[in-house]
Amino acid sequence: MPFPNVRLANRPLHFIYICDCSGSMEAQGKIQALNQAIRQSLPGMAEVARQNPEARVLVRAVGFADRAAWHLEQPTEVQQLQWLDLQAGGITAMGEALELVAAALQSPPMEERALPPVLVLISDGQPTDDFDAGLAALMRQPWAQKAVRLAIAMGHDADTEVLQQFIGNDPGGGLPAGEIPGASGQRPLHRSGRSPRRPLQASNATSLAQYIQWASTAVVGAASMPASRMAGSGPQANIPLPDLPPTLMDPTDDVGPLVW
Amino acid sequence: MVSGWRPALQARRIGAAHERKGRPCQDAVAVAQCRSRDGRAVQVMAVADGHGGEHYPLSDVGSALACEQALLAVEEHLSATDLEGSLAPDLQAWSHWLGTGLPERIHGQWLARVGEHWRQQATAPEAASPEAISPEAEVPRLYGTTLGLVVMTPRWWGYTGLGDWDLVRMDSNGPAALLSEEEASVGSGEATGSLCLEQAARIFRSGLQLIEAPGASFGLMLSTDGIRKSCATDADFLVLAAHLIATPTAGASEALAANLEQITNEGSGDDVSVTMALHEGLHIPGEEPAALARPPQAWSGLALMPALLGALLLTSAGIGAGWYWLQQRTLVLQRNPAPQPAAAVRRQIRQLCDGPPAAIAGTLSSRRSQFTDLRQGRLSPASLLAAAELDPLGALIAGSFDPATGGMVQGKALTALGLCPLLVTALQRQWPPTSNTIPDPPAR
Repeated sequence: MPFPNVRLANRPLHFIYICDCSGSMEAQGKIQALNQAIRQSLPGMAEVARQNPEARVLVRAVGFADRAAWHLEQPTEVQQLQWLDLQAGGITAMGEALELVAAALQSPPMEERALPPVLVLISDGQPTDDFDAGLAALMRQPWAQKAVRLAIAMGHDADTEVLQQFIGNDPGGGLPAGEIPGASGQRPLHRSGRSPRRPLQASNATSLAQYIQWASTAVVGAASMPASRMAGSGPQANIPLPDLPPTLMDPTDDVGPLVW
Repeated sequence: MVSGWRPALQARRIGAAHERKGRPCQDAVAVAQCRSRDGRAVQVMAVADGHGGEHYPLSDVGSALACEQALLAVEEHLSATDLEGSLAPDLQAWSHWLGTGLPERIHGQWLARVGEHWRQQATAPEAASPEAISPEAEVPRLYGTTLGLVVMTPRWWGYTGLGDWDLVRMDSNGPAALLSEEEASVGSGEATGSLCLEQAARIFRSGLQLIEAPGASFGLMLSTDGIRKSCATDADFLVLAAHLIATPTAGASEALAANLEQITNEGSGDDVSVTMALHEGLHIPGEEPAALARPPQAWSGLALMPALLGALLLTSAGIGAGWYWLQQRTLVLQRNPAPQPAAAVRRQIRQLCDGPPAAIAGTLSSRRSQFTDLRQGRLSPASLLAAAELDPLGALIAGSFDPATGGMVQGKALTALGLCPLLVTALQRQWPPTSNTIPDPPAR
């Protein structure tokens, strides 16, 4: 009894970097650090993709400065990805960037069977355009609502409030996704103040690289084979997020100089 | 009364990704046959999908308990209830039971069994330290699972459950149709309805369908989400469902195991489970068939349309239609005027469909002249059909030709041929759709 002529397929996992390329990113080598961090993370991401053949990891990138534009528009398999450096200069059209991503998350072109996408917003400043409109446009898309949304604040001038709005509320105040606040009576897995459901504070090139590496490997690994979870358990991440990496320059550790 | 249901088939396969990572299969599947108080045979089939992940570490146990308790709850209720006669509940009561009473019973029993299991585990020597034991209220979450359940009686069949399982019906006169899936408002992303929720019994979705006639010919397939998520589109899923529903009983275990392995290896990598049952027309002693062909009533909005359609078809085509599985492969319309292929043609179809898939296209290509001559009117379909014993392949080609369009037959005529999907595809390649546009003049 031959197998029917149907298309069995692994599930696409769209990973989208949304990168601040404003003029302030030029200062203190931030844009170079970002380019370097992304470039260095690619082999690890490719290895995770290789270990999870049921997911097809496809990378895209948006840069925003005076305007937002696709830096890497075509969803590209991570194994084939050659990272071209982002260039800094201009203001911070973050809202427009979210609108670009919103358009890409419409169905179609998004596939019926895609895995929840991973969106990583990286910024060192404050939006200079209509961020609320951009976020509203994004969150109208069901795929954006299902997405794993992470944000990295580069330096302490970053507007963590808008980054938190992008991620969504963190009612658990640092509890891990899937853990019901107060239900277990157990110690949270994440220390207070450090949660993937809050903007990740990168204070120097090392911590930025660690967060990018974490997003592109641990998060991609978790998103590649997501365990289902019960509905109605609160506005938590759409996939249980892995623990954050220990960072040498973790602000909650209160050690070391703040480079940015 | 004879049930009309064949015993349900079942299979499950650990997901390729789970196997690679050393995780257990979190799916469970179970089938059972029980009897009502008045002795009517009832088939029951269930699937459950444990959530997996670190927050649901015992979900493989939870899914097994869900199937076990679902079957027990049905058996318990039916053993105390008549299906026929003056003491039998009416359809509305059965529908209410599927939507409310049965979910509450299953949920309550599942919670009780989960609690028992947890207490046994907690007292086991290898149990974790006391401080690591979750509070009582949190225990059900550790066992989180979905559940889908189908109850099949001689006169009606119904479903109930919660979570992201899928239920497909395939009628003899048409393509497979998705009858029940989780609403987006319940499940989002990878979130799904779960028995571990406190309000679980209230988010069961259910439906009931009257069996239109004793001869009603259809199949049902209940599957966990791993199968649908392994298909590129829902259209692919429905073709795959039709293929699985048509699994021959003989050698079913091997065939299903092979199919499920291919699905998880080439698809989502998730655990995959399936159970299915066929209903076919059998004589019901002492009963007028027409009495059963009354128009069905809607006990669920979802249930209404197929039931009504089935009744209309039966009314127009007559009662007593048979069940025709062409080599147990494809459901074919029997109660319809569309003619069946001759025996020799059916043998030819079987030979092609059972042979190497790659051979189909080559076999058809060798008859390119017949395709061309039929399309250009140089060859009469009737002549080829009349010579079916001498040239069954030619008769098959003629049978797939629609002179009115100059292309391939469609709809019921295509269904009546009883082709396997590969053969349909191969024939479609030989009969390209006709174009109404005026072609460009040839280059000079």
